[in-house]
Amino acid sequence: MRRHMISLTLAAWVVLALAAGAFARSLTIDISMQAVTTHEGARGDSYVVTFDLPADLVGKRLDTVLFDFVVDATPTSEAEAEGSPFVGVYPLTTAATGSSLQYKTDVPSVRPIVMGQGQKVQLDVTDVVKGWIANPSSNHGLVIGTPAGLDVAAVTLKSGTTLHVMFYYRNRTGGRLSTK
Amino acid sequence: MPDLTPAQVKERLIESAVDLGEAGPDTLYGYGRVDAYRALTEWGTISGNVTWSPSDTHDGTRYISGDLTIASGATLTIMPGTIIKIANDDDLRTGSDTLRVEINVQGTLIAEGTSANPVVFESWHPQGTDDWAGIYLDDQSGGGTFDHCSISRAETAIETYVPVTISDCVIDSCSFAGVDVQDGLAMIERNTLTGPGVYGIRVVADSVVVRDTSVNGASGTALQVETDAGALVRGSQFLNSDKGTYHSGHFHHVDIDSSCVFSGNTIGVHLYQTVGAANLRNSTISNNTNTGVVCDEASGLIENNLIESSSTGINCGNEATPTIEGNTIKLNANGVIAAFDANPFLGLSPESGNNTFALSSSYHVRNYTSTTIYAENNCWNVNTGTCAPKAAKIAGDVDVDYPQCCTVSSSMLVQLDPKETPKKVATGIKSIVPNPFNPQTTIYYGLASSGAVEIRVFDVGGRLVRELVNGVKNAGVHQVVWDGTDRRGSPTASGIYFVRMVAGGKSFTRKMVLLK
Repeated sequence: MRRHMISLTLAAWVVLALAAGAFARSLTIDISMQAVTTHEGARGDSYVVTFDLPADLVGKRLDTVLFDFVVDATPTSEAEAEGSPFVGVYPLTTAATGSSLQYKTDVPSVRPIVMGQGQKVQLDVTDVVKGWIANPSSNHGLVIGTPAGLDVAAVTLKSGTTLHVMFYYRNRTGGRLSTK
Repeated sequence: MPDLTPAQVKERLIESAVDLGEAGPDTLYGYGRVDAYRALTEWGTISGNVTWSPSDTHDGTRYISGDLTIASGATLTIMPGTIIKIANDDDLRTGSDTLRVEINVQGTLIAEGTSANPVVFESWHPQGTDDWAGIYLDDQSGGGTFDHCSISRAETAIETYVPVTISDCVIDSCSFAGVDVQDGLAMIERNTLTGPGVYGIRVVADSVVVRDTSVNGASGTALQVETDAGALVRGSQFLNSDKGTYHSGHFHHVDIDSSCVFSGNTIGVHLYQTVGAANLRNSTISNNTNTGVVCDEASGLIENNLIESSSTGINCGNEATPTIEGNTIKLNANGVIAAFDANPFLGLSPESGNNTFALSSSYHVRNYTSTTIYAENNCWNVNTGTCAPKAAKIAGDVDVDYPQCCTVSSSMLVQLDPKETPKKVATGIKSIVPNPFNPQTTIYYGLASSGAVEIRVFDVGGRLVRELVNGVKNAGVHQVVWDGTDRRGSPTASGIYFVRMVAGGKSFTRKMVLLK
């Protein structure tokens, strides 16, 4: 049925390897709260998260990168209590030093959340990480914070929780590459 | 293998033997060392047209021990009732995933079961969610048909670069995706996907038709439609995932209609960077813990849906400009939010609007932007049958003229104040209603100050089709109808058209779709 079709020549094995599956593998980086630095601001604290890209990604086709963390949103005024909180995740454009943070805001990084404690927020940061891979010196980390300009409750990272960066990648070299 | 003849047993032993010494049979080692495991299982390449049926083996089960490739030009047909058990370890150590078994389809795979006798792909010793890699149809494949199949515990059950049909299948416990459409039109009908890892159905390029399919419990997105992809979704359910559906299509069309349900997700529907090509209609978006519908840099049409029981019903951010019409938006903390320069369109005349807002615990509409939201001709109900003043349920600069209230009870009618303050109007195209359209559509546009304005329609080749406006207009919101005809008054063909507005030294372009 099938074995008599198999050639054990080297050429056949090479072809098989190149044409074989495109299945995604994953790596996860766990980031404890101790590794997160807090920066005070007018709209509550911002949190800087830095991490090195896994060496295992070299030569791989990165598929999806998800970043998740747990937040609290507690209003400090009646007006804030009636607003819908937001949390933003932005890539830093320079290393975080002092109280001033420089970051990009033109990425899909703002997520509405629910007022209350202990909400898991998951954001797709694939494009950001792909930019870091293309230009490793641009990796200054991510900042988590409350977007400016809205009268809503400030968001805080929940203490004692762990942040995760999940990398899904593929080994395959054939077929068409993902456009994501 | 009691079903095999002695000759077949001999053949299997020879073919699966581990070659020793010189390549091929030789006088010292013969055919090599007998490998009973390989001899009793499937692996390697299928180069001809082969049929697997339950009667081939004593219990209808085939065991796969290493990567199996259906070669280009070959067809593997799997008959109803066939059970395929896949080893947790790739004995051959081949393929890009050298540890787990892959089924690579360079030819054609036809797996057609019945409701009583499905074709089953499952791990030999179920342990987790990625016991084997999955079924992969590459870009040279002849395609695949999966009908009444059960596929479980793969990393990605089906990944395809070519057209496939997946119908009446059960796909569960896959660690990355249930179906990953990298390219090629996929017909996905009447399937049940449970516990997929990151994605239930992901569409990277081309498009899918998803009908009467349920996706439950993706840690990422139940249906993800990416930048170069489109989807037509009917009668399907996307449940208990981080996102029910996420569409980031710039150029392709996502059309969700006919009683789709998005429930129990963190976000029900997330539209990102859609440009007039996203429709969400006649569906139920309920009990999503965070938000029913997120519009992020997105336009599109949100029409005739029930959007309820979420923290926010519709959240518009990052310059989103959806048209929101005819929906029932109730039992949310906030019905519609606009922030970060978003400008949703909730009605400007008796022909538009028609949303019903009820039982919002905070606001029916909350506008965080400095631009007016038009929300005329809607029904503004309140929490408990007693009327609340406008200010209690609407915040920010929201134009709510021409209110029409539901007839739930007379005590629930809300007497809204007339316009109180001059409205700030941003220059640009506000909305195109309907879109897609046939035979005509209305283009709403705003001018921050009086001045010359020019509005023209172009086809996808950049050729001028029709000039709609060329003159001086006062500040405010205006509208113009395009009846789908060209400069000579002749009907234009179905397709994509672009309307371009030039005013105040700026140019604004939006896409329209004429469907005949």
